[in-house]
Amino acid sequence: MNDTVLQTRGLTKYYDSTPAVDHLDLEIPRGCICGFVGRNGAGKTTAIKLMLGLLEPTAGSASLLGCDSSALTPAIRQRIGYVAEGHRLFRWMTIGALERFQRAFFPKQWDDKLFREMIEYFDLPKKKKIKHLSNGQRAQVSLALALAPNPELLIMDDPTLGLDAAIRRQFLEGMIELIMRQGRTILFSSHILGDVERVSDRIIVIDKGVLRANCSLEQFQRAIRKVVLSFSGDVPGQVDIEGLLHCKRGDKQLELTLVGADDEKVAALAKSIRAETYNVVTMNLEDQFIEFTAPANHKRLFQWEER
Amino acid sequence: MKFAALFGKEFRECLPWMLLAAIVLLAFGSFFLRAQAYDMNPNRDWSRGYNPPGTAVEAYRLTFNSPLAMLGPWLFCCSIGLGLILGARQFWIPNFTRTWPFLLHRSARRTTILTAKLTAGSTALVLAIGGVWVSLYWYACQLEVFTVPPPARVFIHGWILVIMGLLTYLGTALSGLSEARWYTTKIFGIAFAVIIVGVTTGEWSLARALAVIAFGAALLLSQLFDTFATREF
Amino acid sequence: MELKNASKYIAGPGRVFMTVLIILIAVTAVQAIAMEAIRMFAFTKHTTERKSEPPRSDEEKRIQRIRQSSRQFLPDGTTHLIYEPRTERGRIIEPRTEQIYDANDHLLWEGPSDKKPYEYLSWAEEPRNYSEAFTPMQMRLTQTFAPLLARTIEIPVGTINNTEQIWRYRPGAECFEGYAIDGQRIGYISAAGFSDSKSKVKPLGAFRLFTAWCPQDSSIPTLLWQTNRHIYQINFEKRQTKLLFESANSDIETITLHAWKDLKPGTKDYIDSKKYRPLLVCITQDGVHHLILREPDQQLSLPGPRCSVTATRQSIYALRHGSGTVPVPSIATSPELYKEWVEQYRDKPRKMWTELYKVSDDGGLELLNRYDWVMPAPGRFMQVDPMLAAQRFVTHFSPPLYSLVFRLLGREFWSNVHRSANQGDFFYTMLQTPQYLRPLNGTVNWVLSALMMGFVFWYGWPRRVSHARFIFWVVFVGLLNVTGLLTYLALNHTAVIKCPACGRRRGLAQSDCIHCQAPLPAPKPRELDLIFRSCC
Repeated sequence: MNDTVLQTRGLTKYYDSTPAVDHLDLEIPRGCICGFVGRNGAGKTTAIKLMLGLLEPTAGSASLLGCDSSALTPAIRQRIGYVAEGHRLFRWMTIGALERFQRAFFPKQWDDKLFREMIEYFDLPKKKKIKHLSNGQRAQVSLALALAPNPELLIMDDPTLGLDAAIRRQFLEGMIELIMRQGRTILFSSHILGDVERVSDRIIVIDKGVLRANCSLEQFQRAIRKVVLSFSGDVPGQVDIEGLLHCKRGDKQLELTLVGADDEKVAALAKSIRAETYNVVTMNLEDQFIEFTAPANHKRLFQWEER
Repeated sequence: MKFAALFGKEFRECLPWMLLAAIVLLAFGSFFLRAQAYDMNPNRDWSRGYNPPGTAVEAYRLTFNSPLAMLGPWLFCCSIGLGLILGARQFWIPNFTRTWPFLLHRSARRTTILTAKLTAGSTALVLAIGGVWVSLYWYACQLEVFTVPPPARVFIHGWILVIMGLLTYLGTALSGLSEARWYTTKIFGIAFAVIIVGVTTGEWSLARALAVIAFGAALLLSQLFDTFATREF
Repeated sequence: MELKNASKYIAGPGRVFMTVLIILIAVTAVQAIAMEAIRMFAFTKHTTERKSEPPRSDEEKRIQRIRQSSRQFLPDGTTHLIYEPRTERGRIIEPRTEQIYDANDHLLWEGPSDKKPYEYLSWAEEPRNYSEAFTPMQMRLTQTFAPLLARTIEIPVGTINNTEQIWRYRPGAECFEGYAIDGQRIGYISAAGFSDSKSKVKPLGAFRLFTAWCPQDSSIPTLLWQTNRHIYQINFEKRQTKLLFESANSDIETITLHAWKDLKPGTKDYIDSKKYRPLLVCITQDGVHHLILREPDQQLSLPGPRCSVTATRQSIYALRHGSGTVPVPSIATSPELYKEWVEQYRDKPRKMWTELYKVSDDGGLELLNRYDWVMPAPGRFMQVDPMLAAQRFVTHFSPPLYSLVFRLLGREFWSNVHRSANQGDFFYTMLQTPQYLRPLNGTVNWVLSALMMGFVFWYGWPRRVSHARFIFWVVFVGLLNVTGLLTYLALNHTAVIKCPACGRRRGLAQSDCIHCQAPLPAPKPRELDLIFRSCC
């Protein structure tokens, strides 16, 4: 069995003359949970739609479960679960009707028990129409609909958008429940790095359509570090070191964000620029992501101090 | 099973509009037909066909509308109106509610999904307008109501008006699926359907009218299947 | 076959056709509106100019009076000119009076028109449209779908208060179908007369015209029914079909009637049957006039040019009109011929004449009298330039393809189309567009087309997907002018970027540069990117 469930090769999509996704090369192995992160307009939704064959790529290709995205057969689609952005379902349908509709497309693999359990767990009334559900309830229905057919690959586009913390947690638990079944793979995009941190074992970062990181969560967290160097005299004017992301000067202090710097490198760096002391600051994933994707010359929105 | 599910979903979406159109047409149709029946019972008024002996007869006085004539404009408007509404309901609204990705990502070919949509829409239109038309025609054929049955040609013409609704439906569907901007070809689907309807309306030859309709429908259908297969959602 | 492949071959050309059709109609509408606006402007200008013209001299007035007079004949062959005085703008002065002049322009009588002392010969006339006769155009209108569905021609039989039978015309079967008032079918009236079975029906033939009247002893209409080759008289009361005329070799072009309808004195269109014999003239396409007379029954044939015919109790007469010049061609159908005609004959007076013949029993013609007069040259009244200029300007934007189609199909085809369109056939009316809107100034039209082709070349070269398709579009725009250009732009809006490899503009319809085959530019990798294949 092929161990790569999702693969893209130079996947590119232009809107007019602007690239929304630019030469995306990805390989997602079976059985992992991938957090697909990026800022607003980074191209996450476009990339997911390209993977699912809902958009036509300008160049490159994508394949899911070994089948080219532009020609996904019904049999392949049957093995892929998809939760669309915003949980757009047919508003006039009741949950029960939606279940019957969805089940018709997965006659053999539909897990009635799982669906029922999820609906009961989320406390969703089957006779209620989708239009009368809250955002969170719609998200729960979407997840139940996507999970009940037991998909080999589940692709979710910002599934926790607009949900409160409690519902998000329920949602994520549902996902973990799925991954505990053998061989399932999940790709989900999100703005909420806490969610990614909680459930993912792999992170994919996309920035302005370009792939910037594709590694395990651990590798990502280990690679990005913030070091605060203290000086007794003047702070050096120029710091020329490998892996420097950002550099912030303070009064007798230098704050550096580094990529790929281990303890040895940091110590060597402190010595080379004659820092009196240095301190490696612990960063959470959100901080790391922000530092990683912030442009080199980025400005703050409200710069009161400079006024 | 998949097709049945898709068809059921689409038909259910069309149902309120279908019922509304059928009720409107049936209400107005019955009203006009009853009014005609009261006016003409037991005979239709052929008095203008008679002239005093030894006088010329103005030829147009020998032409008569069928009792169903007043239904023509209503049938036309309801058929076209329902065509527009169903086309918009099935192919424009999903653009705004953004339900296309959910619908398309299922274990069915796009062809199947579109066929189900079109079959459901057409069935709804034919059942709503055609069904009412058949019942009204049947009523007009009752000898105790209208004496002489309306000619079969009127019945066929009624069905052509129903088919015009189908053409409008296909045109609206094509416009709904079009990815073009408004100032280019977005409304060309509807425009083309309007042209075909216009040409057919002015046509007197049944064979030619049917040929024009068949040609227009074939063109619209080919466009629809092509657009649906290649369109980005 | 895969859906995408099928659509490639069917939907692609279909989309082009659909777009062309819509844009062509839009462009044609704009052209028609522009032409009408220019025509209105020219007409207003022309009317203003006419108002400021000096008053006419006596001689000019005399010539105009002769031109506007009707030429009538007495049974002995004497010619009179009947003139109704008019205002300067051509309107008849009320109360209506008439002036009668002899052939030498001497005033014989003047007074109210209903009190004139002479009785002139009246001629068999075509049944006038709609009020008197039903034409194919009206028959077609009864069969259109909208707005009131199909109408029917129904002849009631009975009394005004008690209709007993209805005879309904069935266009498909070309016969009448009878119903008793209780809805039971009585039978059929066809060329074979009455029959109670459909199998015995003999179709009347393709409908051309019918006219109806009630005989002096009945309120039930009798029909005179003309088809391509036959004329029938149908009496529904007696359920009889009488074949009046059958043309063996040639279709009937037109029929004229005189005293045929047996109407009472004082009723509409009554002609004194004590003086005139009932006459039906049937003119076939071979130019022969077939005279069908009654009281006594008689049939005659008159060959030769078109004439009006009448039959009194004493004799049969024929009247022919002639002209020394070719008639004015219609500007709409042939602007070139119209212009040519105006240039040739605008300043030339036209010689005209009218001849009265007596028809012998064997169909021979004996000239009784001839009246000649001269029509003044049309001169400045024949306005040509503004209208033609309007048409010329507007058709600069017509597809050059129209000219090619027009020439290819030939004049005979277009005159057939014109004839069918005049009979109310919508399809043929639309088919006339290339004839009416073909470019009158081919050079300007082709230059404009060439400019548009140049634009398409500039616009489409970086966007091209294949050479064949690119050439198709360039030729397409060349043949269809502005319609082609709009179609091209509507169907080909591909984004363009600058190729980093060769620096030229390239479309994004395909992934590699059309000029240098370089792929789309990939983003520069950052040193700090964290891309590791191994994981999990």
